[in-house]
Amino acid sequence: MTTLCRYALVALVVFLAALHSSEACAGKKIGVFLYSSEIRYVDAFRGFKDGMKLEGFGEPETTYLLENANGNKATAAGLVTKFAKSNMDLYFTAGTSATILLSKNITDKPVVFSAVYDPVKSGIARSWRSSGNNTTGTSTIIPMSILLDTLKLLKDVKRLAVLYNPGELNSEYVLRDLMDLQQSRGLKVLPVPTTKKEDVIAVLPEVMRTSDAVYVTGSNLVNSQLTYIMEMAAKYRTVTITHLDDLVEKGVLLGVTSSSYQIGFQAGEKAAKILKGAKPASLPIETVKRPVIVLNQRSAQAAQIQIPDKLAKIIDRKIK
Amino acid sequence: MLGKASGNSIGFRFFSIITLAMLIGTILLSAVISFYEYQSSRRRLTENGQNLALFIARLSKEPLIAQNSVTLDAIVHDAHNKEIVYALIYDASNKLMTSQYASLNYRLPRFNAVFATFPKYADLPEIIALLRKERHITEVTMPIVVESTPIGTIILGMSDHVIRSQIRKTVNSVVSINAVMAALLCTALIMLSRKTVFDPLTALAESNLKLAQGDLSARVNIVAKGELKLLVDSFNHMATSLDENEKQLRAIFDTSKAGIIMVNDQACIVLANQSMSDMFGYSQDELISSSYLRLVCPSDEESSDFNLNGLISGKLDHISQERHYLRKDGTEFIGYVSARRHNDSEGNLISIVCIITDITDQKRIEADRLELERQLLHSQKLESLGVLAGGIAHDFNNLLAVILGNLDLVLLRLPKPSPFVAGIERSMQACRKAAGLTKQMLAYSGKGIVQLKRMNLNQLVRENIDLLTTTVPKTITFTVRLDDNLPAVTVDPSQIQQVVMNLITNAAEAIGEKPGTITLSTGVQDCTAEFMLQSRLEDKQPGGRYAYIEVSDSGSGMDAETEQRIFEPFYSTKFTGRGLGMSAVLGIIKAHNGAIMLDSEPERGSVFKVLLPISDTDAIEGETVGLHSPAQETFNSSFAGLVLVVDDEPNVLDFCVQCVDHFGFTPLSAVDGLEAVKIFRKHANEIRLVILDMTMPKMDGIATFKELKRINPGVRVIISTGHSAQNSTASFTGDKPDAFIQKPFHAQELLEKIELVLR
Repeated sequence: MTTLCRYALVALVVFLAALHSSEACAGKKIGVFLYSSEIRYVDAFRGFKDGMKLEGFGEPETTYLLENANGNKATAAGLVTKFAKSNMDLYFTAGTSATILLSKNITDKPVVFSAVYDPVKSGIARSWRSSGNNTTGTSTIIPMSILLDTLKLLKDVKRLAVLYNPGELNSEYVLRDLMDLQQSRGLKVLPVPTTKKEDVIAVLPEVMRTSDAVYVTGSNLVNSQLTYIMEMAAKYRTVTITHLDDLVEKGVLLGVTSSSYQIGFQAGEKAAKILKGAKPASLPIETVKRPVIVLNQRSAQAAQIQIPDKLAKIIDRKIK
Repeated sequence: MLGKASGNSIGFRFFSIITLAMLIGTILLSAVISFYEYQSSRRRLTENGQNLALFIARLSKEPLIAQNSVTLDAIVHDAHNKEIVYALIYDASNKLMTSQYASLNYRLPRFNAVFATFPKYADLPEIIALLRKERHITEVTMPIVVESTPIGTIILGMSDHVIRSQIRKTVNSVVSINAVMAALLCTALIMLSRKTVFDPLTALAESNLKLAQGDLSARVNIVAKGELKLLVDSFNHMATSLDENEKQLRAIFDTSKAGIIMVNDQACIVLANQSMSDMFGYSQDELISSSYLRLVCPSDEESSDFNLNGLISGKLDHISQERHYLRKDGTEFIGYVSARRHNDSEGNLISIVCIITDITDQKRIEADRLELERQLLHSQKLESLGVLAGGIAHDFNNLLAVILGNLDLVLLRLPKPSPFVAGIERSMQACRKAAGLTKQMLAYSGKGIVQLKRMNLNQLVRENIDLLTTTVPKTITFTVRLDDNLPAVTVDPSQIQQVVMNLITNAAEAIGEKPGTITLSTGVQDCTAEFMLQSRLEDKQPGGRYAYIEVSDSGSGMDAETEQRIFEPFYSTKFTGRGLGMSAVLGIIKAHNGAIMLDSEPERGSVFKVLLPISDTDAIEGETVGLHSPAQETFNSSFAGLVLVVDDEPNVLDFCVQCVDHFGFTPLSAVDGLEAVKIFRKHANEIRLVILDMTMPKMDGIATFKELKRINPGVRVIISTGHSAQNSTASFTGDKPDAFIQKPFHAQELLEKIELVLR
């Protein structure tokens, strides 16, 4: 039993592992649930697929069933029901709303999320280290302190208005984080609750007039009114800032962002591990390793805002 | 709907009144509704606010306890409605838990604009303080209580703009409804009233306007009732009356012979009748709008303009005067203008009415009348002078008859030879000359002896040529031109001779001692009636064929006054002249039914032309046409018997008695007609002859003759008179006397007459 047996055993193990691997990689069906067609969600999904591919779960062997709720709650609910009956191997969600909805309805299959701001506060996971359930994923959360520091490089802000949608947890979380820092940072954080398009149109001129900067959270309503928001910002020469890179693409002047693609990619790696046998609860929820500073030069010119050198030096990407 | 109604039309005013009434009613109604609506709405607002505050309070309890400002923001933000301006939540320590953009309702457009006026970095408390100063915000405060423990407070700022908006809407609705109802009501009223009131009134007004503008045919032809019918009928009646009056006045205006015009304050003619047009030669269209002064002659223009301005200004009320007017063809005429102002009730000038009458004919008639009067006066004067001359001549003849008769008797009875004969004959010569003067006077008075003869004037001139030549001084060239084809005339040769002599004498006196010429010519002329009017005689002879004698001289001529008076008796330009010669010429020509023309100018001489009517038959030379057919025979019978002599002049009576006695008769005498008749009755059959004076007191010769003839129709009578036999004969109608003897006469003449009568 000697060497021959050892070699045979190793070969058998390898064979079995390979067999397992091939079995693990072959024919996986991934259900993809996007709440809306926001760029970050799409980028996250793109990153997810690349992450999966890198781990051997590329197409066409791996099939993706993509469903988009287009921002409609009722549609989202229907899609979730459909997914529950579809017997997927794994589900991928982008955004807090979609993740909450899916994770509450599907508990027997792994759910990997991405572009969720704060999965713990939103109730998706028990903690950052372990979700304690069938979920894991990546978060777009950016530490507000870093964001405020970056903002300070651009302008000494005393009044920071925060456009958020009460009920959208991500945007609420951002607001709370900022409010927690207002005292230590010596600025006033002014919440601007907007639940309807009319709210945005009605309040925005006054917000822009009376604020030094406006934080654009990632609520769906805010996204849909972004053009108007940027017009007002340009009119009143108000700095706009966000933590979402797609919003910078759409016109927000300054973004301290996490790459949606990157966090999607990381989510894809996690998903691959789960498909290979890992348990979701064993995989901690990750954040972006380093924020990306993005500047929208077009918006800066429109608002006639000069970019200080200190900020210019640390800008990772400029959108022209 | 109102037709051509203007802002003052009754329909428009009716509509306006109704509309105004509706408007006032609407305003009042709206005000009342607004008030009550506002009060009600405010109560409702407060109630709503309280209900909402209660609702918010209920929702806010847990977040408030948790000090969850984000949740509280969401709550107040969601609670915003169209009435909430702001919603604030305070905790128990009165800390404001809600943020600016959640507490303020930016969805209110009105307040959004208000917010924009606040300072840029104003905090919420500051903003709320500013808002509280705004009107139309009502605050509702509600404590948030948990188990009877107040944990906070809700304050809602409620705007009543919704209320006001509702009230506005309500008012608008009320106003709109009222307006619609008012319009409908007005329309209905006007449509209803249109037929019964407005149409008749409009028609009445239109017809009235037409009438006022001069269309008298305007009538209202509509059916009306009640008072309107009365109005329509009255109007139509008035219009008819006006039309008829106008036609009457127009007829008077048009048919008036006088020119009638109306002149405005610009002195322009605005109306003219046909007579005016006929008078001036302008058409009526040419007259109208032309200046009145254009019709006035330039000589009168200034005074006419002055008077016209006086009328226009009101200084004069009327004028009446003569004017020289100018016709279109440039001829002038005299008009009498009477102009008067025609004023309105306030005394302002409407027009000046002028009536112009052409008085040219009247003036000419007046001038003619004056001329006739002058001529009449002149004639009367001359006739008076003639009568005077005749009277003087008559008396003078009587005296001369006595003188001459007695001288004749003396001469008869004076034995020859006698140294007294020459003296008596000189006296008798003087008496004859005196008789010649009286003859001239009688000739002037037309009572000279007329013994008419049908003769040729050339014959008379030839027979007297020597006499005429000696009358003319040697320094004067005397030329005679006779027409060989001169027709005969019936004249008294001696008188015509006297005429020629007087004319030649006058011509010679006019030339005086300077060299000159006198031309005597005869001829025949066909004279028109107009030419005969130039005769110096008062009685103008008709036109026809006349033979003339013309005497022209190159003397000093006559001025106008001399020419006018040359024929007056006793008028002379010579100191030595008696002034009877030319007057005698005038009287003789008048007695011959002729005419005398005079053409004279100072320093150019004179031309006298005597026209005598041509005789009907050819002239027989020497034929005498007289009252008596003469066959003068010498009667040698002895005179005896009674002869009655009647004369109121004692000297003449005495002379006649002596002559009768001398002749062999037995004279009877009477001093007047009555005595003569008395004596004749006694001796009617014995008295062979009566010598009867014409002019006697008590009973004149004519009456005495008639009485004598009645007593004895066969009585023979010789009338003794100072007048011509022709004139005296004409005085006897019926039986005529046997003979006439003109005083003064001498015994031989008387004898011849007695012989003639008793033959």
